[in-house]
Amino acid sequence: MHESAGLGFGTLVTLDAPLEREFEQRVRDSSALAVRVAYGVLRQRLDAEDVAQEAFAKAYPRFARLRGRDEFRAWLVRTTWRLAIDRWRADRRRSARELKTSNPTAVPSAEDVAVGNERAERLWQAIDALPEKLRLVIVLFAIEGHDVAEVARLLDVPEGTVKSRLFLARKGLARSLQCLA
Amino acid sequence: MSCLKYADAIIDHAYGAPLSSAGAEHLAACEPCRRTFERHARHAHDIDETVLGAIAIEPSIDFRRGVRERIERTDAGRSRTRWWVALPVAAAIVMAVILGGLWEHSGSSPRAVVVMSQPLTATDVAKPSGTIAAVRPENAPAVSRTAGTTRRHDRMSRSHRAASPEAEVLVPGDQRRAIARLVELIQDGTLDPAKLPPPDVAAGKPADLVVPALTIEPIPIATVETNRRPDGGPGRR
Repeated sequence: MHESAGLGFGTLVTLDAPLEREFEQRVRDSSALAVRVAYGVLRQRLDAEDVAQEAFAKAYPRFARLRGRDEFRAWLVRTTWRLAIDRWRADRRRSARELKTSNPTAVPSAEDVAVGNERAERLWQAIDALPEKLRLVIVLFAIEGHDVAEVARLLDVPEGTVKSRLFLARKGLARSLQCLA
Repeated sequence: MSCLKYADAIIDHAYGAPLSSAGAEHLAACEPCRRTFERHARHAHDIDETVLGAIAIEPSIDFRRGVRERIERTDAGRSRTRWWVALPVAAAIVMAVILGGLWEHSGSSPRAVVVMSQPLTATDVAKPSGTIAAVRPENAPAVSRTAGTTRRHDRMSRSHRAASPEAEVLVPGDQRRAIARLVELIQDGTLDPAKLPPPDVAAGKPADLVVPALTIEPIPIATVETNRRPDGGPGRR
């Protein structure tokens, strides 16, 4: 009954077959959104995927109440962002602890070297300096192809609020990038 | 003059802020202000594109399989959690039943039920100093309830009655010695039970029964306070 042709979700948690198919479709449609939202906070691909998968796993038992595309995507963005922030804070605390006990002249990993470039690093510094609400808006605005209405739907706020936050975020970024330049 | 007046508003407009109609008219008419606006608008667009480029990653091909595994792992964990939650709850219920049973039979209450399956002896009886509270003569009916006896004791009394056909006396716990002394007096012939006043059967107790004072259990203060209005009124119904 719960066997689906694709992912085969629900071997343990049970959803009806149509719900299974819808959930599978949502995963397919929204995985990039979730991964990018998480990446906007964590900036580590593996961590971002891990957090996005966790968000989908949390969505699964609630999916009967999140069937609508907009509801699901809005819930997914909020949950992924929250999980990513939690992970980022935990990592920061762990890093602080490890810095106290480890060799301070540790060499960065090859992955860090490969990913990092000066421009991106400056940009991320500027994004990190933004308040959380502004960070989320500027990241979603980029993810959603600069569509204010879509960002407003995802965040469940008026479009005017998105525009206002977007303006403040851009101004903040422009200021930070000029200072960092 | 107008350029200075609208300069900040035009720059803000380039980053997404709304512009007043007067500002828009000035922007349309003023070439230098339009160039400023376009420069900042390009900067804003660069920021958006840079952010987009920085986060434009695609999920790996294993992403969906990872989601499935996570769901299965979460559900398995949830099952384990349910089991671990259920175990202490069940243990707590069993312990509560056992402790409740022990408390029922521990004699911790201020009253005692004496089942006289055998005559009491007076070997350990000192000179009685208290008042004889209650005694059931040989042919008197069993006392169904004594004032001050709680329902729990009544239940215990009924259960004892069902289990044993012997005579049964409900006495206050602190007067057992006096009862034993009375039995001793009857047994050695000093006291004739026939001369004892007959029990008041209609009232369900002996006529001269000295009824212990009714114990009124204190009402928890919290209950009283809850029902009292702040102004000291009678409280809500």
